[in-house]
Amino acid sequence: MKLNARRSLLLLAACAMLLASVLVYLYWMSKSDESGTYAQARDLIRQIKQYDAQWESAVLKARTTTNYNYDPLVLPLMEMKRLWREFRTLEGRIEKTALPAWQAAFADYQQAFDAKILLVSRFKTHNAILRNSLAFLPDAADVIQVHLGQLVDADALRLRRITSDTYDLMLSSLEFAQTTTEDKAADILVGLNNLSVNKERLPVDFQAPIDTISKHIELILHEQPKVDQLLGAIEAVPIAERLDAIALMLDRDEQAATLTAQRYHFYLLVFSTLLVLLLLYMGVWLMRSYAEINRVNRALVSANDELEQRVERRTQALGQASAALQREVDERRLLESQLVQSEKLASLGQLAAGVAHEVNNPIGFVSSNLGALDDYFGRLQNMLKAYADAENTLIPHGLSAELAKLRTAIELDYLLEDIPALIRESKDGISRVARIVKDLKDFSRVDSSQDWQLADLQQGIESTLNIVASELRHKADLVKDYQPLPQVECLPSQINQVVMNLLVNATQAMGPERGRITLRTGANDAWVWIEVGDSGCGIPAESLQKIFDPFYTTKPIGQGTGLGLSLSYGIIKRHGGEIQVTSEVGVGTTFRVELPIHQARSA
Amino acid sequence: MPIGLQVRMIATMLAVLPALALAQSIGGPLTPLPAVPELDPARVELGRKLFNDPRLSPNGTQSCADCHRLDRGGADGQARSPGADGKPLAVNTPSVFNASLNFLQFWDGRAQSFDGLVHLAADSASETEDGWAAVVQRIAGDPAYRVGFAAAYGKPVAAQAIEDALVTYQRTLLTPASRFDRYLQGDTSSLSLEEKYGYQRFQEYGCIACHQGVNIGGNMLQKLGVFDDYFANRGNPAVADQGRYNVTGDPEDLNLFKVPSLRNVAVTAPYFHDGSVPTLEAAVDAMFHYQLGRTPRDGDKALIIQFLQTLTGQWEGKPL
Repeated sequence: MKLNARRSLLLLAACAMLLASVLVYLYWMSKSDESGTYAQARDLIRQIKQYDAQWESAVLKARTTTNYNYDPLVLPLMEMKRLWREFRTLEGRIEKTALPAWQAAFADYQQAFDAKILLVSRFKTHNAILRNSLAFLPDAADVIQVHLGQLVDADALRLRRITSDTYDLMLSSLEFAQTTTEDKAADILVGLNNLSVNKERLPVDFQAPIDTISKHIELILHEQPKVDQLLGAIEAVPIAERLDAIALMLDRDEQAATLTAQRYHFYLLVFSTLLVLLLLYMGVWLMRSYAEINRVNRALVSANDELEQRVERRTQALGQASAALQREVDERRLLESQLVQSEKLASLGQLAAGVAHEVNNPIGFVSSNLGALDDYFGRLQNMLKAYADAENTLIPHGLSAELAKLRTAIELDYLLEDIPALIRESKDGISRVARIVKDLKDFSRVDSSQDWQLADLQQGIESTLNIVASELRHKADLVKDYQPLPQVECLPSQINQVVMNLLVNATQAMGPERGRITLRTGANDAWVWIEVGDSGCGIPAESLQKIFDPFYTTKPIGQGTGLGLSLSYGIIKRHGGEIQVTSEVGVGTTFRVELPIHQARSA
Repeated sequence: MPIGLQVRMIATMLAVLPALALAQSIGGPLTPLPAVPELDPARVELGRKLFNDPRLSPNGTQSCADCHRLDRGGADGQARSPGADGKPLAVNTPSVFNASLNFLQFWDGRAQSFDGLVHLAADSASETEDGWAAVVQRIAGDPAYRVGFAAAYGKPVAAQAIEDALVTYQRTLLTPASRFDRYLQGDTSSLSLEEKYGYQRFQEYGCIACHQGVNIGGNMLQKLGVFDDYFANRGNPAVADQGRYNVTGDPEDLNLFKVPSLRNVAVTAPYFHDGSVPTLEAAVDAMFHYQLGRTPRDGDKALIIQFLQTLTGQWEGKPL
């Protein structure tokens, strides 16, 4: 079944591919790839022809002009070369132009072009000197006339003949330049001979101008037919014909391509129509089967929905039961741990109270003894001073020296200075021990009655601060912001414990940098409040709702019990108060404890 | 004067006059130097380096600039410069300045356009081919060139790219702001009266028939020795004297040479393809004798030389 499905899918894909490639093929063939380059090619050929015409007209101008600029005979050639290169490298024509007919047409043009370049180059060479000599002839004739006019002693008639012969010759030459015929050439040759014969009869000085004009006339005689022949050849070079032939071939190719394109256009149309019909049939068929599928699907979906709803209802019931059970377990565990903790704290309190009581007595007598010692030493000092004053007068010299030595040895002066300082420091120390013991007693006062008593919370806070002072001092600065508090009905040792917990937590929230802990108190109507804020790491929102859960801790195992805040919570709740927390990660955390001043019920 | 003569004269005048009018309307056959073309600076710089690099010669002794010295008018002042083998070359070194404006290159015009200008000092085609392979190898061996060609052409060092860089550089070697160019551009005060007369004589004697166009020459071939045999008078005929015949083998082309440009002519002695004429005076004399077949009137030659001296342009802002 599966194999069958795959096979039919493959068959379908192959069919689609076949149809698509036929379509693309027909489209490709119907698109005349000539037409893009055809216009361009025709344009290039037209431009080449135009430059050729310019070239030819420049040659004709040069033929009649003396002192002509020959640059226009060079520039069209460069342009024609460039355009031809462009035409030959025209994209999309390469395979066409490889055909022998095209190659032959190209070769023909190239040959004609090369021939014309050569002819024009020769034309420039010959035309330049021919024009020079033609322009010079009248001047040369004038020079001869002026020269001969200087001959005073000569035969006037002969001179006139030579002059008129020279003019005649000059004019014949100019005429020859206009209409070049064999007869004129023969005439001029005769004239030249006459001139050379006449020349022999003149003095040597006068022969030079005649030689000059003769040479120039000879040159005209020689060059003029040459230039004419070159011009004829240039005009006969079939560049335009070659270009026309190429244009004709372009047209023919274009027509053929258009015809082919039209034929394929028709095929394409027929094929497209067939395809559209096929598509329409398939569309109708698809719509029908789609409607059937839809109907079946809807039935399935509704059955499914019902089943799901039932499953969901059951799951919900189960979930509720499970949650209730979990809550019960949690509560029981909390109660148990609170019990354990309070037992532990009670025995710790008793221990502390006992130790404090025992230590109190020794402190009492050490303290009073130190007072007496201070007084006694003062008196001894006076006496020693009197001895020192009397030393010089009462005691013989030998003994006096002995005494001085002894005094130096035992450093009497230093002792006299240091002993009072030692006593003062000892007194200081003992008074600090006394205070700590007193605080310990305050903190751990066994609330034996476990009944509400009126207590000064401020005093309790101070005692607690003293106990945690050493830890706190290292990590943070303490900021106190107290308002006067009334006496509050509470269990002071438990409240002290809460305050201590909050302070210890605040201290531990500090990062490696030194932070700040703010302690605020205040009162209104029937409530007092205590706030402990820190600038520590803060608590992420997802943890915030769990911090009062028992055993929830973020500290490494063994460092925190996870009971501190849960115990505090229990204590405050028992007092009928509230404990709230606000925190922002990276900024800090603030705990706020609110307590009623009077308790409604007995503890 | 006979009637027939008069009629013929009038007829001739009628035929010649329109031609003269046409000559005037063109505005003279000399045109000012065009502006330096805008070309890819990277390619120009590459061409400048190559132009001055002796690794382009077969034995690494000569750069293009050794003979085409930009501080000596684009040539080297010698009759025939020594080749890479130390022996004198066949013809005089032409100036590289403004060469891009010539329609043919070399004295015998063997390169059709400026693109064929780059030449190596080798005689036969096969030697030239081998020479190119060696040059490409030497240039490609230099990391700086490899980087330069990659930047300017986007492909590795090749003979075609080397030629193109050299040609591109040489297209920038124009010498603008000659006094005569300023004159052509309308500043008539830039020529003295004598120099203007010189220009007039230059046209009158027909020098301008061949030395015309934008480069004042360089746009046609002409036979050396139109009115007298230059080579017989000089003696010691050489193969190079056959000129264009050496390229085409056509007897009609015997002694045909490219008409050289007269730009900077005053600073590019010696003259002619054989470098045999050391001074401008001697060159003008030879031109009158062999090419014009005329004898100048007193003082005209000096005027023409004065005019020729106004054709000296500037390179890097300084007169050549």
